[in-house]
Amino acid sequence: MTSVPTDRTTAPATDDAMGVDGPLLDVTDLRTTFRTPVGDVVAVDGVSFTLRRGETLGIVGESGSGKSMLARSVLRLVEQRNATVTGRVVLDGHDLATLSNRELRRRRGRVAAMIFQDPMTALNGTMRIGQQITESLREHLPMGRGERRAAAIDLLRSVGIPDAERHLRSYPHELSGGMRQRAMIAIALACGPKLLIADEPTTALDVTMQRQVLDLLDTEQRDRSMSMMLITHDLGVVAGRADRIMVMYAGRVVEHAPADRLFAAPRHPYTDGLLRSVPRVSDEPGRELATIPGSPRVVLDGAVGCPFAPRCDRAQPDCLDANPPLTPVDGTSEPDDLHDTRSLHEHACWYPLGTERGERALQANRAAGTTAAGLRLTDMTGSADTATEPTVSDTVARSAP
Amino acid sequence: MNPAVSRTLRRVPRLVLTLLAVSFCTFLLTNLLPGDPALTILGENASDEQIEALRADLRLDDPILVRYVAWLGDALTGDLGTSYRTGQSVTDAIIERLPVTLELGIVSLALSLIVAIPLGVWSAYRAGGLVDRFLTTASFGLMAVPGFMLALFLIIVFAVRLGWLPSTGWVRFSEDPVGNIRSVILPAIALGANEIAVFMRVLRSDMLTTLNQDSITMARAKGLSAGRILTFHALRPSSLSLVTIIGVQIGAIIGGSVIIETMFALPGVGRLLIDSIAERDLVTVQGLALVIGVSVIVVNFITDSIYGFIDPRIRDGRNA
Repeated sequence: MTSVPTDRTTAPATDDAMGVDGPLLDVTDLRTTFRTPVGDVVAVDGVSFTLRRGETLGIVGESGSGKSMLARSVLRLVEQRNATVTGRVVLDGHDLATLSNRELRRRRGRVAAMIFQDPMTALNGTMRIGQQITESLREHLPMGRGERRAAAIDLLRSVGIPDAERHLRSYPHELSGGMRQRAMIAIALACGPKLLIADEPTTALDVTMQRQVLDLLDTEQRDRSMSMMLITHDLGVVAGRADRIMVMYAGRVVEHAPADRLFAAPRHPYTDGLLRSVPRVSDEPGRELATIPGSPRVVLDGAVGCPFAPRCDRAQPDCLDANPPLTPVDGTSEPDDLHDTRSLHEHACWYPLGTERGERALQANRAAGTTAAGLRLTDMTGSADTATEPTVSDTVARSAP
Repeated sequence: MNPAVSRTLRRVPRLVLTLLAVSFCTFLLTNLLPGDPALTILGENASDEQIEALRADLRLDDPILVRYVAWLGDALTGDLGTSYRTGQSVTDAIIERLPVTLELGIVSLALSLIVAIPLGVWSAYRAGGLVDRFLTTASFGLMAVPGFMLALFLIIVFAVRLGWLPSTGWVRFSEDPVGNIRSVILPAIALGANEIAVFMRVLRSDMLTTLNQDSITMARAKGLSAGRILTFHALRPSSLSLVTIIGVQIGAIIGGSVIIETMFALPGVGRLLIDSIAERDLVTVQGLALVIGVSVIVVNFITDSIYGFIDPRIRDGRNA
């Protein structure tokens, strides 16, 4: 189970070189754009990462940060006519771009499965739960009718649905929200995938159900030694569950670190903002939660500068001129360490937290009362006025012609 | 009880009320005509005795509600009166001609659905593509061509020029099955061509909505084939509007059959209606109006009931 080091940027990674010992998923420079009348909207902007077997990668960002589009792009599920997906995705030793449609289909559901935010819309409302499980089995595994039924019952039991036999015949709307999400997990797990992509799996659930569903995902992951991409806008969801965390903003990875490091010493001001906007039990009563001023905006192809600059309290003139590349934090970049993503900590910021340069920029902006992008710093929490601009959403692509 | 069945039963009282309203309007038909109905039926050359006899026969001197109840009672027992033109029972005349119209309607509806469903599905699946753009243009063209124009065109090309199919006349299925099918093809196409365009557009638009839903992405993420996704995951949730439109178009088909039956000289109900109107055969017209009105209502009731079977969420009272 030890991973063979792979160079993340120049991996030669032919199918032979990437045997079963390689990382399960190796994504290089994934880029998804949508042609629209106002220009090319960049939903995913040159994202690279690897995912080892059994590992959990948390992907965090506000809605509109491109995390759902990233998930869909990985499995080549982006189908809109105006969309272009480039970059390399190597799943279990196979470059998905070189596969035929049929071979790609054989891997979806079998090697990599996906669950969605809202089971009410993601499940087929006109098909019984049992049939939604068995149709995957029929597609991918050589099983007879009776075997498929038995397997479906086992699956429903394993995700904690009581009275599994009866619920085979239930329609999604006949289940409660939590049960529906469990059913969706059972459907996704039907063929024993090696990778589970969970896109906001708990966002549509009551708080009491969220924990149960996350624990279920944990258990299933451990039992099946599955890898998982856990996508969420809520840092609380990935805390204690993800091995590594990628923070996304405007389609880019702005920070990437082992989970404990990210929580202990965030470098990117956006990560810091997200962390400070999570309420904690240890907070004194009445403390006002920090917010990040403004909202994410549509990033068009060819846009100049750091996309977060307009909302950042550290923004300096050069932030508006050049987009900072993803660079390793000093101390995690020793040559031997570079390839092992387990300890790598990267960020994309010219003036990161925890550096003298960064703190100087913040001090200078506070002294001036404004940032280079014109954000007025009215108080310490950073809530400030910004002109409201069109916000990007995960559905931007759908509204495009 | 199956929830879809009980949902249907709950709607029966409303159906009965609608039927009563339609029958009353149909009955009023004779009374809303200007002048004396008896005079209208018999013509200006009728003698006073004849008119008096007819007035008594039609019970024109009774209050309108009394006459309605009597007429409705007769209609419910299958007696729609007797034609003053032919002396034939109106019920018999309709029963004799109904099979022709029914066959024509069913064949034309089936043909249009067989063509429209795959085209609509493909159009939505490859929205914006070459096929879709061609079909969009073609369907607008098709909608713009009236049935009788198409009928003329079909007769000229396939009956007159090529001689493949008969241009007029009807062969009973019991007499000659092949001849029957040959005689129904052209009129069915002429009658159903418009519907192809309508059905295709409606299905395409619903399919587009469905195909953008997470459930389709989920189905694709499960590794299902495009064919299976379109048939099992997209078509069924997308067919509600189509079913509604089919119900509505039944009325159009019946209306269209009046023209098409006349053009192809088919002995159907539509033809009977035209002849009766021309001959001022009010009793027959009234009977036909009742039968046609009731059929349209019942068909729509059935299509409405189908919703519950298509989408389980509706029969359980959600999104209904």
